[in-house]
Amino acid sequence: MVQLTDNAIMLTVKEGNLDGMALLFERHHHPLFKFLFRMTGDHVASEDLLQTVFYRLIRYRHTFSGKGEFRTWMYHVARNVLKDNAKKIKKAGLQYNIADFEESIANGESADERVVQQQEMAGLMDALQQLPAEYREALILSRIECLKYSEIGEILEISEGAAKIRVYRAIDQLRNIYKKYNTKAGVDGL
Amino acid sequence: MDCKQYKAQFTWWLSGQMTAEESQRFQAHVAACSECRNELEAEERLFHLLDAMPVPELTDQVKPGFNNMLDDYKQKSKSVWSWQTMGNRINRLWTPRTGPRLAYGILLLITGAAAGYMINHRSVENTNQQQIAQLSLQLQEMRQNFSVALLENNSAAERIRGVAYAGEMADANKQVIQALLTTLNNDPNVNVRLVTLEALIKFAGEPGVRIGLVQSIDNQESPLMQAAIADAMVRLQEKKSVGSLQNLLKKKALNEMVKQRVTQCIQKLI
Repeated sequence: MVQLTDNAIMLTVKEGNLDGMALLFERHHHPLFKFLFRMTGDHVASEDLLQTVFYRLIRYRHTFSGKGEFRTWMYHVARNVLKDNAKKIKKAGLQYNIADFEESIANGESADERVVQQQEMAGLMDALQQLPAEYREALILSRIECLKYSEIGEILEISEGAAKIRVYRAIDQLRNIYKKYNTKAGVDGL
Repeated sequence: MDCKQYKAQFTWWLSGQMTAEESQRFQAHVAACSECRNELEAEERLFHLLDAMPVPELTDQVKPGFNNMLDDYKQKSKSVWSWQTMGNRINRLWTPRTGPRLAYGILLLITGAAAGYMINHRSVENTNQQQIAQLSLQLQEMRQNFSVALLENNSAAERIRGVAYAGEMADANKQVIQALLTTLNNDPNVNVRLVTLEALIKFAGEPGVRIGLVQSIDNQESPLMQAAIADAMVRLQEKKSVGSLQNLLKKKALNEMVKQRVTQCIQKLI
């Protein structure tokens, strides 16, 4: 059976087959949630924002031209949803809580190893929080679904070259912040 | 290329997007340079850590939440009037061939129904008509008050309901118009502001609406709203909005796509 592409499904949604959006939701809600969560650090807010993004994809289906990829359009809408909710998210602050994830990240054989793993991850989460939003989003997009620089450029409305530079600067800044954290924590970091 | 230039390519190499030739050159340098090799390993480790960053499991309310949202939207689409749907339907029906025939047929139907009605029900209907007119007025007032009350609700979904309710009215009084304009300029939820804009377009003939929409241009910071209101000005052919749209273009942080859309809208208005 030939699987319909995202673009083909979205064009049917545009023509009135709103149920087609359920299939697109099925395909994309996990990575989209990952993006929103990594940008906000807030589980509850990210689930709300996820619904808002899909509401807008339905509401503004008539603006989907089919020329670019559906996924690019979806992340573009997601960025706008984040911008429109920026004040609320800023007030809440990034809310990663390392204790919520201890089991999934600490799988070392000894207790000492597990403590180091937790500290490394806490440091990374903290460092990501301190990155400016434009760097954080470029970095997250490059690590979610392995988006190509050309796609990242379209989502961020910059050239492919500028997207490459932004991701490079993001990782550079993240590494510097992370190094400072590890120096303070006394952990052998990067 | 020197080490600094190769280090700037680490992220690109790790993303797997280099061409075969670029990749060969890169790997050759890293194999020969221990400093670059160590730094590349460190960056690779950071990437692995990033990938391993935990993400919580979605709650079991997410899918039902989406399904409910979709069902609500489908329900509202059937009952809420929108320019878009009406425009599409009229465009499909109104071709050069069918248009005049359709218009003539509708006119005949209305004339025949009106004549039959008047002949059969003139005297009795006069009294009934007065009562119906009174009841309609009272119902209209109730709807307007209910709509204004919903616009002040804490829940965005209820405020959207209030806007939809206002949009269904044949005409809106000053109170409703003012409430809609206040919502357009101040509601924290952009979805509420978007449906409010649609409703206000419908009432563009009412006093204060057009000027209110033009004044609202300066208040909108969301790229979606900025684009939507520029489109609305073109639909209404509101030439008085050109000045405000030009001011919008001067804003420093203006989104590039919004800039293009607003420029196109100004061209259509001049």
